[in-house]
Amino acid sequence: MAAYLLRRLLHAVIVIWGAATLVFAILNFAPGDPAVNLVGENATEEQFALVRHSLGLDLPMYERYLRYLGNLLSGDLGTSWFVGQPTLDMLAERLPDTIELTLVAALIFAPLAVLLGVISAVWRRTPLDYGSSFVALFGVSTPNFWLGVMLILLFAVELRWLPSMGRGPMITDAVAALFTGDTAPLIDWARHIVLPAATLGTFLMALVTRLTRTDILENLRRPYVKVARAKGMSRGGVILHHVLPNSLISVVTFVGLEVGSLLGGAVVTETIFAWPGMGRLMVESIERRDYPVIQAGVLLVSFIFVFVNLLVDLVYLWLDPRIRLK
Amino acid sequence: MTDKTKRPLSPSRRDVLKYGAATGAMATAYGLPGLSARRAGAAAKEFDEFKVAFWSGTPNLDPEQQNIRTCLIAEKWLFDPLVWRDKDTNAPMPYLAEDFSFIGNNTWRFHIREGGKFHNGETLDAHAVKFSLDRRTAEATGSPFRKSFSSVIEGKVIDQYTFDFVCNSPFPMLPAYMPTFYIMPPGYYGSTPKQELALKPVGSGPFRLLEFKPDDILRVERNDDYWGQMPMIKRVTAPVIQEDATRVASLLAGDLHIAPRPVIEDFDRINENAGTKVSTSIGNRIVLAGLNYDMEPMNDRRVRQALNYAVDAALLNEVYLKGTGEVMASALPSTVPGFHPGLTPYGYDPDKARALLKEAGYANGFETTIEVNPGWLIAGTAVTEAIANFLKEVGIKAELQVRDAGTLASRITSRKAGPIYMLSWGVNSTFDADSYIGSLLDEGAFSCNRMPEIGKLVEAGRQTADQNERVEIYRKACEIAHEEAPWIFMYLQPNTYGVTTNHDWTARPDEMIPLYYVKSV
Repeated sequence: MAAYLLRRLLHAVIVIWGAATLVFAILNFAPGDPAVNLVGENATEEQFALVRHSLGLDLPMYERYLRYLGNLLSGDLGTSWFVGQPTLDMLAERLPDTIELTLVAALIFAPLAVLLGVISAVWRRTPLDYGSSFVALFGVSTPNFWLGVMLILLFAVELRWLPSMGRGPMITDAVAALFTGDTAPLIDWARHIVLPAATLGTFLMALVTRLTRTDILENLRRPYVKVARAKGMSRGGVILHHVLPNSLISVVTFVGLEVGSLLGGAVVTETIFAWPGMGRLMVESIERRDYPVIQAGVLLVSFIFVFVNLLVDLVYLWLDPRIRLK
Repeated sequence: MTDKTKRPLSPSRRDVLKYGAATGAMATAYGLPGLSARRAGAAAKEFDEFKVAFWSGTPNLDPEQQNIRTCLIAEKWLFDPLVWRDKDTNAPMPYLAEDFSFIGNNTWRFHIREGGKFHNGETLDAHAVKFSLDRRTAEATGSPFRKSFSSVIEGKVIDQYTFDFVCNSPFPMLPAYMPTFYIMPPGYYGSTPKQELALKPVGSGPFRLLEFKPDDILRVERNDDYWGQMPMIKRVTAPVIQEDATRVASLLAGDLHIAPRPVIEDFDRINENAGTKVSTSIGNRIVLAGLNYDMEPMNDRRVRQALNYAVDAALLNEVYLKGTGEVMASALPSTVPGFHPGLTPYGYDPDKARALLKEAGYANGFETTIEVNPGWLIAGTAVTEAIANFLKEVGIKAELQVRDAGTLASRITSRKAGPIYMLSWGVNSTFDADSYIGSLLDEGAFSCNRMPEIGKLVEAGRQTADQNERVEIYRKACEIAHEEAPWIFMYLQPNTYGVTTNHDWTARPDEMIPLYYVKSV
């Protein structure tokens, strides 16, 4: 058990080191010069050289790499060249917004997808099935950047029901206000998050709808369904109490894994809706070649993935005795 | 800055922009921008909240830590410069300075307006100007504007409200560089860590900081103690919206009052929507296709001229800018003193281009490369592809190579770009000829050509404070550039905005969005 844990931890460290090295290599071997973005178009070659020197960009590659790893080991993720703030502070400020958006998208659209999947399976080959299959197909084949703009045009420009961009109050403030009887902040929060969450969650909804439908249809053919029906249980009761819980195991596992992918989708969604999350920070930093922010951002996302995977492995370890025995 | 028209400037307006800056730079007592107009429009309706989008990030609001356009715009709300540009004529006008003049001995004298206060209560006087100058020119500050002030060798406080810039030459560009020289409170900026200065700017401007989240949102409120014209806007909210479609949608939805840089394809939609319109102005940003003299056959003047005849810049302006740009004949745009009104663009003449190529020994054309960073110019890829197609008509096979900004910039500064490379140039809205000719020709930092005659003229232009003499010098340089054709001369790109019709702000040539004079209509 201890050996297994140690091995998994070692794997995690190697993966994070690999990610750190890869992002360093990509940024530093890519053509181009961050100094140009820093000093602007008026600058002379002398000024560019000065900036390169001050940032250590004139050092040999191996020396820069060793410095970078050394700083990482000492917990120093660097300071943004443009914002002038520690990258860790910047990411810490933005990450909660991304997580909030991702969770809201998952929490609204995953249950909705399950419902659609159930409807689709139970009323197979009926207009209801075709309708939910169309929704699923639409969700899978619609890119975020198009859907987001269309939703803005419909709900913000044409109907004027929702704001076109930005975020409302923090969810914590909105909930706190709720305790004082003030519902306005929560409504404002919801009005701002619904379009980006819908944009982000549609793809997930489409995948989960299809998965749920397939899984339920498969389970409906299993003998235990026949037994339950033979014992006099209603069709709805069998689906609700037996088939759905069985199907949900794979659905929940899938949603768990896909939430990680939603972080990637958030880059596009945040940019379209001017949502102040980490994805938008990364886009802005990549455009400027703000190496410290890009490196820290990639490292943080890698860390989250590795940590979640490690956690899942440990949960499996607890759930499944066979792994422990191996 | 006429709205909803293909040609944004009436002839008289164009003339004002062409020549206003030249006369305005000299020391004269101008009408005050503020005090006399302080209560102007007091009866007009106030805006509780005015919303302006930024099209790209605002990472840092310390005026000496970056020279990013969006930050410069935001800084103008919070800080005051000594010299500013008139919204109608674009001419430099005294702002914090009551007046300024060249007094000989390479010295410029500024008289500072009395009674000014910074947002933190510090006094705005010559000592603050001295501090701001020292901060800009100190190596430790690392200001990107340091180079532009390298001719200033000393700042002298003559009395509390009189300040001298002592230079190593007449430094005639000084007034043109002044609109981005913001004055800061010495107590605060002398004692606060650099990291904090980036987030908590303190100036003397018409608005004071409420909230700033880098690259996300800026909120400012009216400075009720402002020395100048009191804004009719109580609060400004400025989110960063990078996505072009979202900015336009937000404008149409009523979530913004000013949406900068809408794509040309959205112009009709904005104009047809009730309550919004497009506002454009010719500005300071020129677009050119540079030709690298170090790469054959661009070292042959006949070839360079042939390329100019081969490309129909006027058509590109009509198609990709809806005619809002201005086709150029030489190195300077019509908004910059020194522009030569007597020169006419090459014009589209493929036969002449073929004849010149034949004369140069390229009757069958040749193969070449055009490098482009699409983000540097409006419709960057499409315009470059169109150029390649025009060249194909005269037998030149041009291959496109798309580069990112950093890569192409460093290839140009190291003279390795090309043989043809696309470039746009705005130089922080200085509207000074030296910023174009001195940087883009001969030994300039962004030059891939060799034109020693122009190099001499650049030096001559730096040695006199007589603006009329400078205009003549740069006109001569324009004549040479027109003849030598170091670039395919393209056009002056417009500044474009989607705006709501309930206020009177219109596009300016200097790419800035000052709000202190905005009124409801």
